[in-house]
Amino acid sequence: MAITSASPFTAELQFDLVSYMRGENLLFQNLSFKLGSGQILWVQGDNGIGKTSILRLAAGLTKPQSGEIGYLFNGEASSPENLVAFQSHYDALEPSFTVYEELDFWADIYDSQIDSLSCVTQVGLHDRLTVKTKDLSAGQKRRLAMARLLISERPVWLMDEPKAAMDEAGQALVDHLMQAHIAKGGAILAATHNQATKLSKNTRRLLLESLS
Amino acid sequence: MINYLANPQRFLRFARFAAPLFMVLFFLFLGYGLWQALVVSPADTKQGNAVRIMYVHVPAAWMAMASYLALFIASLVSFVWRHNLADYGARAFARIGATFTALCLVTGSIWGHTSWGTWWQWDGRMTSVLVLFFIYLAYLFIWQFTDDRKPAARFAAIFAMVGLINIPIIKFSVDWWNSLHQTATISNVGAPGLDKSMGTPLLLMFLAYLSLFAWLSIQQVRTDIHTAKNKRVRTDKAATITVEDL
Amino acid sequence: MNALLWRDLRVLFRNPQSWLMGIIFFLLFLSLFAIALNGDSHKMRSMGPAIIWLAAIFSLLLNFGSIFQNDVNNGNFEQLHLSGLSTVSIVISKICASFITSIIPLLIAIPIAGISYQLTSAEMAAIMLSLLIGAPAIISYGVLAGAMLAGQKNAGFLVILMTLPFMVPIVIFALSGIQAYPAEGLWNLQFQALSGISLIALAIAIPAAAAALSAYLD
Repeated sequence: MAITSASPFTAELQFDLVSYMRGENLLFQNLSFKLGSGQILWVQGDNGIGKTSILRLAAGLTKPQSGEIGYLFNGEASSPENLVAFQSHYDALEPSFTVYEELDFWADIYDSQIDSLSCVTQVGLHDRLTVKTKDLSAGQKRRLAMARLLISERPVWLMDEPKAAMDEAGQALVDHLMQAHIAKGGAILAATHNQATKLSKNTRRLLLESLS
Repeated sequence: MINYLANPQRFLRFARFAAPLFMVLFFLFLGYGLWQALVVSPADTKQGNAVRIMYVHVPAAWMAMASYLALFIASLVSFVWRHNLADYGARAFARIGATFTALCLVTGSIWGHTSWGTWWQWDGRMTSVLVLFFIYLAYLFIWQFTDDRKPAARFAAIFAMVGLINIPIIKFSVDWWNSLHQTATISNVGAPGLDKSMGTPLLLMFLAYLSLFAWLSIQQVRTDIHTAKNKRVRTDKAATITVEDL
Repeated sequence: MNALLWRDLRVLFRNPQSWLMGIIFFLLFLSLFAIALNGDSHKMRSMGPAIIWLAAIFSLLLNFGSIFQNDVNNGNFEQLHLSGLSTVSIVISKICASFITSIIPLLIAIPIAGISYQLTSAEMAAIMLSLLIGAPAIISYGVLAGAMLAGQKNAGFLVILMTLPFMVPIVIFALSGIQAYPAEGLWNLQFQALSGISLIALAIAIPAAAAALSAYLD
């Protein structure tokens, strides 16, 4: 569901007794939580513990071994492709496209009502419009990925280490964009290994710890 | 029966009596069949004793096709129900089928040499069997090249199913192509008109091959089950979960 | 869907190794073959269509090893899937884009090769037509192999291994169609069979490739 700044909406992501295995290892079991509009849930834990798996499960890219994952938009059942946008730790950018072409492509794919130029400006890449994505720095690529989140007009954002490779200005930008998204009624599920920050009243943390 | 055997424990119990059973059947059929083939049945008027190689060659061709059908069914089951045993079975069927195909090609080549003086003819049947051999090889190759076993099983299953649809197309096109430029002798590469006395040894050898197929498949699946059992799921490593406000 | 097709076309176009290398290989191979035949024009004329076809198949197939690798390995495929695009659309778009970017250069290169092999214009026309009719089949199986090999290094060689058995009917009907063309024209029986094979190939390979790509999501 595309969210426009005009109409209010509620969105919810639900995990119900989810267990997940990676290869032969059971990563976690009986994971349950609800994430609704205006909320941030940080998934915190060491590398390799399963944070990204939780994000991928939420994105519907992989299926849990047991349990259910539910998506609600305005109280009605929805699906990941309508509810969720994902900033993974992969760049997911086409190397031979310029910044403008890349975002324009995604605007087409998402059938977005938002102007791509405004998204580019919001992430601070407006002076890099004609630069090919392969020539961007790591931080700039992350900014472009965030622009993609904006242009997707999806209520629930999944972010894998949002501040990775960002300088101070970049980190401030991430905080700002996350808060703005929450304020509009969006929800964020973000993975971090040590930087869970309280960005709003409704910030929670899901802590994954290994026994050893 | 497939449902019954789907449980690995039950399969292992089944295998404990089935494997020796098929092994015994194999040797029995093989012994009787070879005796019929080499001693009892008559030599051919044109080819002499060389025709006896047919009793090894022709059933091998049948097995090459039958194994592929088994491979297809196992692949279908694996693709739809995602069951490990179906994967083990498919791999076993492919290895055995490839071996029968190779046997068919080699014996066909020997037969061709003793009867017509050439080690190989690009005729319809042998070319089809050769292409089938390459399909088996490609299938087995897929299992080699991916590390994580899960995608390999999917790709192999998809490939086997795509292959099955292609096999009649390939056979049809090769037969048609061959009919354009066959010569009289080549068209007789196939079995000479089946005499009643030839039917018995052919059938016996086919049964022998089927028993061998069953015996070896069961053995391979059994080995795969044991190998998999040794990689146990480590539940004790699962992470603890706490949800708290910040 | 259109946006995806334009993207695939632009990507292929901007990465010339995908089609340029194929054409150079095509011409190199044919040159080497002519040298191997000592420039014997009689042999070259009689073997011309067959050699040109094989060179075309190899130059086409070698590219498919990498067509999905970038998208799968840099996370693009995930994003495309997540945006709601079905894997089937992604596959169809790839097939169409590959058809356009690989066949057009070949159609230009074939007359060049044909002239150097001293083929008649009827023969060259027949070769180009047979390639047009048979290309969907070649590309379908190539894309299927490419989908399975997206995570694999040295994929070019493996694509050949996995697709060549399926090339047999294509080669048979294409070349016999070329022989029948002077007498029976475009819609001869063999070209009809070839188009049937191409349609079947599309029907099988599109869902199969989509299923194979889905395996990378897990």
